[in-house]
Amino acid sequence: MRRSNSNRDLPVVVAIVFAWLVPCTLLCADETASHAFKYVRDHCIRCHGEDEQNADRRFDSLQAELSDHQTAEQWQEILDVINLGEMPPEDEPQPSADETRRFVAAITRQLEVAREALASDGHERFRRLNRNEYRNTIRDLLGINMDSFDPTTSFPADDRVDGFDNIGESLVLSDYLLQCYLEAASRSIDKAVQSREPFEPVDVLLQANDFSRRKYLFRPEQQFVVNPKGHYVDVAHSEPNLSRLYARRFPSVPADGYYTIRIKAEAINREHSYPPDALNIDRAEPIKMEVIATDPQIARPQAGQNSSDRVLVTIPLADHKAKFYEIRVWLDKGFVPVIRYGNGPIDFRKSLVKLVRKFHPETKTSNWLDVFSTEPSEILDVWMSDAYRGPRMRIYQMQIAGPEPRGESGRDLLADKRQQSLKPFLYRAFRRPPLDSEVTRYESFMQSRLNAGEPEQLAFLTTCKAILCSPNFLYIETPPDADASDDQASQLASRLSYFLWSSMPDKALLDAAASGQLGEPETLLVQTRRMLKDPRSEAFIENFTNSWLRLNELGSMPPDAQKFATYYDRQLEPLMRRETQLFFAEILRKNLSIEHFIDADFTFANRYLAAHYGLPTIKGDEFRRISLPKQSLRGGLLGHASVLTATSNGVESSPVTRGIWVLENILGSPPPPPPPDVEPLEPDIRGATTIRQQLAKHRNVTTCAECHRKIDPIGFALESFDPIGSFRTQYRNSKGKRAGTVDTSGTLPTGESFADIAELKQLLLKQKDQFAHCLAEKMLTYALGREVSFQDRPAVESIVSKLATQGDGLQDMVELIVTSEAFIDD
Amino acid sequence: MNQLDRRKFLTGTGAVVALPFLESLALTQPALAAENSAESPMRMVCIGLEYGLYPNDFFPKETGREYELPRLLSPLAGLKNDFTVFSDLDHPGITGGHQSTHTFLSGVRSDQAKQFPEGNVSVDQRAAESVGAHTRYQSMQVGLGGGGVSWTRNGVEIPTITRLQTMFDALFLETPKSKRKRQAGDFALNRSILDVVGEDAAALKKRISLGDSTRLDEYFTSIREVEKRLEQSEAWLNKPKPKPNYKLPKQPPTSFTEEVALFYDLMKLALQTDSTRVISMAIHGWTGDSGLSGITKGYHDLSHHGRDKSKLQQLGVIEQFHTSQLARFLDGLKRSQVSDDASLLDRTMVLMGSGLGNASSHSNRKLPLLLAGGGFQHGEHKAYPAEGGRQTPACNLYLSMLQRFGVATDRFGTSTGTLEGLS
Repeated sequence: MRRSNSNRDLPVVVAIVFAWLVPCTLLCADETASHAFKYVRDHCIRCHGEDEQNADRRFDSLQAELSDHQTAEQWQEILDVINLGEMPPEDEPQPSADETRRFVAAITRQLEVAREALASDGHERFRRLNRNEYRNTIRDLLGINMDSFDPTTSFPADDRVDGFDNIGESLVLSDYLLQCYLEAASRSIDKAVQSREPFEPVDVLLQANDFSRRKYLFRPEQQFVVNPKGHYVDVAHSEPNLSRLYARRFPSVPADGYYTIRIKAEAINREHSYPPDALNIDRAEPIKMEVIATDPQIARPQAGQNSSDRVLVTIPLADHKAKFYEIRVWLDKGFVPVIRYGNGPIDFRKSLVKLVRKFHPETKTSNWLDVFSTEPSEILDVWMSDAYRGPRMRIYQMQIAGPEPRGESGRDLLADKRQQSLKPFLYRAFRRPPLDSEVTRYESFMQSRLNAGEPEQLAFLTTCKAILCSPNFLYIETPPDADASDDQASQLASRLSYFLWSSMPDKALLDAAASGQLGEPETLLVQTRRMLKDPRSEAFIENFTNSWLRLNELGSMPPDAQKFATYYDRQLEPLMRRETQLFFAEILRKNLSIEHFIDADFTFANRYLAAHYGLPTIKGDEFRRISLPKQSLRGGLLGHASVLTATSNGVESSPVTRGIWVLENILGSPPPPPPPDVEPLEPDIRGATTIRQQLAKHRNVTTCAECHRKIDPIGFALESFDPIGSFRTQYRNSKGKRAGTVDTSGTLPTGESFADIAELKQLLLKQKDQFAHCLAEKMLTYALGREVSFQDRPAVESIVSKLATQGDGLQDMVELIVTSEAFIDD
Repeated sequence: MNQLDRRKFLTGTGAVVALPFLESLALTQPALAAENSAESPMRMVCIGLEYGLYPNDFFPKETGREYELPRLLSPLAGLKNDFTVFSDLDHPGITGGHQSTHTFLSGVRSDQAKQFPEGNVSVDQRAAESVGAHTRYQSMQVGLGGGGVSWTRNGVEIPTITRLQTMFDALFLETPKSKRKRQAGDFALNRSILDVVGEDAAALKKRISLGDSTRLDEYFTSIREVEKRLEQSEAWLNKPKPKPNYKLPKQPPTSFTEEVALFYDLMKLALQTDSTRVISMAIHGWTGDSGLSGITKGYHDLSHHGRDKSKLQQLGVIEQFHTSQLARFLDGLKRSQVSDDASLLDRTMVLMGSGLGNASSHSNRKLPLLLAGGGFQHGEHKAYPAEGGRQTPACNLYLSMLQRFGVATDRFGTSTGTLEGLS
């Protein structure tokens, strides 16, 4: 649970302390300030003063002079809650409308003045590349295929601030990370060189006998992989830790590149005649062949899954029809493709023992029960492997051909490994024109390597490694010279490309920066639209949804393996994430209204996710856009299993966590943390009280009530969904028995009531403006790589109001952000 | 020369000068036996359990020496005078359940690290910093089924060793000569790279605003630290590793219980051979077979027991396994002599506990904490009830541990002093 709640045993605090005589530092000459101060003294300080600091806020020592950022932020916060009508609480004496109007006007004016005055002490201008950005930048700088190569695996995870992992202030550098950088620079350059080595293509045909020579199977202890006749191999299990088809004769591919793999395969006995639950697999599903690229240096390829595995493709096989399947895939030098039965029985041995006992007594000799026996019984003439009628994947042969000749991928920075190539390399690596002094520095470094006896090419590569450890590479937007305007253009180019691509600018963008036109809105928009069409913009969709919606937390509290077996059987986690990414992409690419995030009549699903949602059956593993039935609760983000799972702890759902999630990420009004001395709720899973009853108790506690009346009702509406986002109407206890009906009704602090999530969404749509603010702030945070402060309020206001007049399109919002002053002048 | 002075002397003269001196010391006095207890260095082991320990079965009812061992402590009966169990200690202001268990050894959340002079450095790492190049590894971190419990002072979680073989090889497998030569070359190259990028950074520093200079200061600090480490690694490169009389089983263990037991074995060996003096181990749980009988549910699910009897029963089996393994580990250390009058346990403080006080309610209050060895006066259950609303921070215990370790400091994390009554 992200935040704790009050303990129900906590005594009700009768908290009425009349502390009017406040010692304060607020008294000052300025008349406006003293008005403002009087308002705060009359209406705020009793609960946010010396004696009580509700919500951890204390204003009696607040400066009236907005002379620093912290003070200004606090006044901004006071202004916000008063503008929203959230404070003072309903049950407190209310200020007159006129009083409030004057206060709001005064503080608004003061904040405007402060914005001007504080504008100069700027925020940090440059920030470290995070892990994603580093990986993508290496990919684009060196032209490396990163499918199986990742130099960042040992990097520590980047800190997240409110879900964002690209916030400069918390992207620290440690000695540990610097060591990782040294290592990664070296590996990346070596990899780039390796991928450019000349090669001899291969064309190999591997046949059944290359994969296995075992003709029969007489004991369940043996893995069910047999080659009875010498021209095909049958695989009947999917144990991830047991054997996969690998031909020793073909140890690995000779060079990095694209290969064509042709496999002749067949699905056998998908609709087997054993009882439906005998093998614990879905008979309606086609038998699937998985082709995996794996590195023999890491583990024996045939021995079961290992960390170098990458699934190249999963192919549904035709039933009882041997066919050729051809794929074109990237393989790194030294890797090898192996074949696995993707969706066969797991725990196969156990099922096989049972099946043989029941259905194939003829194969049952005393022999196979004897684990020490290695020879088949002499009298045995029916092999278990022959008698078995269950599903199998049948492989006849595999042909591997490649790699294809390499296409010229534009300008290759490593093609000419001589000293004069350092300058262009520095230009791209620093994402700006290098200073003469910088060029000289690295030239003399290269010279020192030459003097030490390194050959020219090697010395050049060593120098490139050093450049990849320079702060000018590792930090985005390092200024060569603070005044020159073309430097600002380079910085803007970097800001834009790390926003939309999480990677370095390409040549077209750097050229636009060099031409001096990038600061103009038309040029910026042309570039933005071009970049959004580029496949690299997938990074924006993936990283922004991870940050904004906290989808990165999916998997951090894994659902319990027993309670939520389907989560693992069907590998729902990546599917959940994919749905939300495709949904976001659709809204972005079609420039649909941001209202769709709150409620929509479509989503994306494949067969498994549709089944998880109880939607009409669809076939296949590919995702597609589907229209939701009218009464479906799945429309919009609040119906996405990704969000619902990420806001649970893997065992129970928590209305509090989910309620806070909505306040933070949809409405943009995160509640303050609970008082530090409050004990969290202990869920009563024996079923004596429901979560609603427990929360009701602590909403009666004054200190808790103020926030929980906002949090809890939203969370109750989402109780329709269990910890992995399945629909439910009943709670179940730890034994799976019914433990009460789910009640999804609630009343918002505004007095509006709803019966369920569908009605809540209609109420949320009324707050579209607040949602637009929230989304704009989140996106601006992501775009700038820093937290949005009170200074940026005017920018956000202007984005939101322009957006409303343009029709609320998501791509419009991206464009408004890019062309905002906050972005251009940051 | 007492422990602290010797340390000061060594750090004062710098690692490069100190090493030959140490080497000669190691030659004449093998770490295992000959050092007398005044000379035998202090070690620290911290074991963190992600899902806590069920409070009702962990905390004794009585305080003082005459307390009855509760269920979870019963495996430690034979060692009752070698450990102390603490009640009512926790990290002030820390809430958030699972999200805050990472504060176990620091008392500080990673997102609040900036407000503390030493960030959220964990107690083991604070101790390890003072070891310097005296051992091959400044510290080792083990993680089972999840992340670790050790954090650097920059707020970075240190990646853990997850495989037995990795740890065994690190301790005992001799690096081939060709590889050592290559490594020496790499060290030299990396040092020259650090020189040139350091110049780059110095030039950059002149062109940037004040706000950005903290970023660059981090960069400079990291360069210096890496240089120091490279020096240390270079020095160790050509020293032979110890040859133990111990082998890992040929087949890697398939169950969690076997794996845990073997990791404890390796930890003991690491201490005995003085390969490192600081080890942390984080136990989250298993991914495959638990190896425990009668466990039908996941560890995490069981920890949300909601006082359900059958769940508590299963949870008890797991937690008792943890304390039994601890007992076995402590017993092994106790049987290992480092001098005539001191066992390895006397010179090793072993902390077991969790950042979670009550997993079922996700409370970070009243952490389960147990300290063994290290030459402290043990045998008691010490309670620290809040006085006038003031809770005793667990960091007071950590500060006592650090001082015993030889770190000259009078504060750690949220400490208000050393832990009263512990000596």
